[in-house]
Amino acid sequence: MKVSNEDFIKNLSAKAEPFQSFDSLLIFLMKWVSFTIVFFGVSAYLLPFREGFAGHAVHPLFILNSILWLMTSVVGACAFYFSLFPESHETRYQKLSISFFALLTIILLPQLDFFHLTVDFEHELDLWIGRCGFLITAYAVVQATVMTLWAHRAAPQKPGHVVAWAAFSSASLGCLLMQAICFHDTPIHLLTWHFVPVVLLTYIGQLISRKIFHW
Amino acid sequence: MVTFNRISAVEENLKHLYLESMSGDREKYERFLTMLSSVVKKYLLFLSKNGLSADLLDDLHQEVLLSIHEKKHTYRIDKPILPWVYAITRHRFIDFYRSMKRTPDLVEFHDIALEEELNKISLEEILAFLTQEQQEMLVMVKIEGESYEDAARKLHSTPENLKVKIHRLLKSIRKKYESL
Repeated sequence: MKVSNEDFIKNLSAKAEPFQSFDSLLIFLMKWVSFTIVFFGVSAYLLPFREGFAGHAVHPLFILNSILWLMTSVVGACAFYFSLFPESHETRYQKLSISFFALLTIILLPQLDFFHLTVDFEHELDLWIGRCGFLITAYAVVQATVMTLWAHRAAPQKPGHVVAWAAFSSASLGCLLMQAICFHDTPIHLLTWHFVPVVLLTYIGQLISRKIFHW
Repeated sequence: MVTFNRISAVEENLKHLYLESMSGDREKYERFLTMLSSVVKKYLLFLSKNGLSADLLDDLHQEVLLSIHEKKHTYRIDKPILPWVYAITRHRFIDFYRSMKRTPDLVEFHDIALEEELNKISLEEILAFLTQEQQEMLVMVKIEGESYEDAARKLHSTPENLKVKIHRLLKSIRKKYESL
């Protein structure tokens, strides 16, 4: 039986209960940073640092890459936050985060040995050599899951973006962690087992997100 | 055309009612929903270009109110409330058309979001910035309500070309307005 608009409003009003808006960006970032520090710290404690890390850590390229991975992740977390709202047209964080990732790729690509690319790539297909890719995935899955659970009541304008950005941000942090742990420095290794997981996890996140955040 | 002051008053009152209803008070929430109801109905009529039957309008209107009820926590209180209401309404409206296997013209929806911002200034102020050709385009399609096909014929253009020109024009008007 069709309900009149007045009765419909009365029925909805009867369900009124106290509620709070989503956290502001600042509060969200504080929670994200706190969780990241703890989770990152525990992961770094459990996994052995690469040999000669202290000497490697002062190398300018290492410092630059670390900063870029960190910025990709932090700005990606902001893009995740703004993806949660129905009226949000904020694209600057998305563009900035992707720009940082693109910069990392641009720095890496010229270092590839294109003459021996096929041979080098075949060598990288050893799963033991690529275990850092699995570590990045495991790290990203945990962190992205926590972010997704925090955002479960969202009403995103683009449902596919929520988990995609959570995965992108979390996987980038995983790559930052691998800077200290993974001792394979070759460009082909980094491309295959660090960069590709970021892209794949983001894509998979987008597929999952459409199902979870459809409203 | 709705002036800035009227939009401002609706925005302020609705936001005030929303903030009051956060405490869970039923009466205050009902007042918020009642005011919201008229805003949503007007916007649905605008989106559908008055093409919805009374029954469909009621159904869609109730679906929008239900969505707003379920997602009321997604409004950020430091932002204007009307864009949030319109975004949820548009989302449900597009869903409704998808369920009826009809695709709304997405260029139209993007124009609508820009037009909402333009409702803040008067028609005379907008037209003062435009060339004759731009004035004709805007007045024919957006004020007099002519179809793109009829307006394109009169302006010796194609409907697709006209849509793109009007979309770009609305964007440039918004930029000019922001610089004032």
